[in-house]
Amino acid sequence: MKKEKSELIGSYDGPVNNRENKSFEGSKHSAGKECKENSGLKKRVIIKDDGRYLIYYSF
Amino acid sequence: MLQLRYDPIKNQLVAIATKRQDRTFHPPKNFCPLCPTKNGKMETEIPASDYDIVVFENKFPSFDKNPEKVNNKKINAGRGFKYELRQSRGICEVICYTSKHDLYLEDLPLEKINNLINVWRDRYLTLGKKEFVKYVLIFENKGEEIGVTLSHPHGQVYAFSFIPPVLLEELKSAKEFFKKKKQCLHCQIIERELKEGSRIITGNNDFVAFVPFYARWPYEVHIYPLRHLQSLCELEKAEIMSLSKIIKELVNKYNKLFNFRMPYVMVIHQKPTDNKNYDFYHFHFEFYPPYRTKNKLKYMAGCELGAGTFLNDTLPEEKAAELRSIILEK
Repeated sequence: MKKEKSELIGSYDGPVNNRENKSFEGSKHSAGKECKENSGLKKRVIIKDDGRYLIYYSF
Repeated sequence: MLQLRYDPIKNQLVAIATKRQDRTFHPPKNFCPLCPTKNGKMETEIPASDYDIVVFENKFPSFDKNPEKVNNKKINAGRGFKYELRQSRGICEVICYTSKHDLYLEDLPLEKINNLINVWRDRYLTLGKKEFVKYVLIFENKGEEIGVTLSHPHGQVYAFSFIPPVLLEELKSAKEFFKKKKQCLHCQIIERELKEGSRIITGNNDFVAFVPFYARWPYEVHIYPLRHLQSLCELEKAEIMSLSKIIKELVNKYNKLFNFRMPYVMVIHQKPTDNKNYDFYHFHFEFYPPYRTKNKLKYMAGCELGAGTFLNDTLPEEKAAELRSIILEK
């Protein structure tokens, strides 16, 4: 399904790379459970004087 | 005062947030509350000399993180018909995309947009894990025409204690369609748009952008992942890059359309975070720019507000062709 969709885009919207096809049927049931944690994110949390939090994300 | 009042006629909740009347309205030109704090100058929201991306709790929230208990007995004492108050529980955050005051989402290098998407994912996961949070809405209001009073590039996150009505309606349609056809409604729409082509703006390996057949705003565009996914946090690394590319391309096309920065409302529709099964749902972005021509705005008026039916003065296929034909410099 994914490949078909990409090909359809390619037919009128410029080139599309032939990347690995991901099956729609295969991904459908697992997708909901596939949430990936952003474990690599660097976060620093501070609490402001009025009690609100502020998070610095560094990359 | 922060309250949720139940409208028994429309079967909807209304958030009363009186403190928001005091929110910053066009600050002085030499002071931006979302810029880093300059040495020796008044402290902004961000007490640092620079930052990559910052998230903080909105000073003027629409919901209360720690609301007091509501007393429906008190408001209904001695009354016949009973009104209903609910706890206005929720979290409202601001996301500053960059420390640079004039660098908008579409101006950022792709790597920086990737970083922003990763922050969106993190906020969705972090807030969505909270027991009371049923829905995490990530959005951006851009431009004075939309009512934005702080021009520094930023978006917002609302963690709702309920699923808001627009999403409820979408989920209901998708669920009913899936029940009947054993297929995803959104996937079917994507498939039809791809085959037909007349409303497509652009696409890449992983995403497609089109003016929907049923567009309510003249230049309304929806961006969908080609894979059937329910939220941003299921994206693979390559898909995040594809998403950055398509967002950047779309917004730059908007800007080139009338040769000014197109204002818009951008919302990300993802599955709710109430731990129920939403395998039938398909996450996507929706953009609503308010212009119908270079110098005319489309307003929500009698028919839209009073009857809930949008009047679109334009043909989606024509508007899509306009946006599609815009060539951007590499």
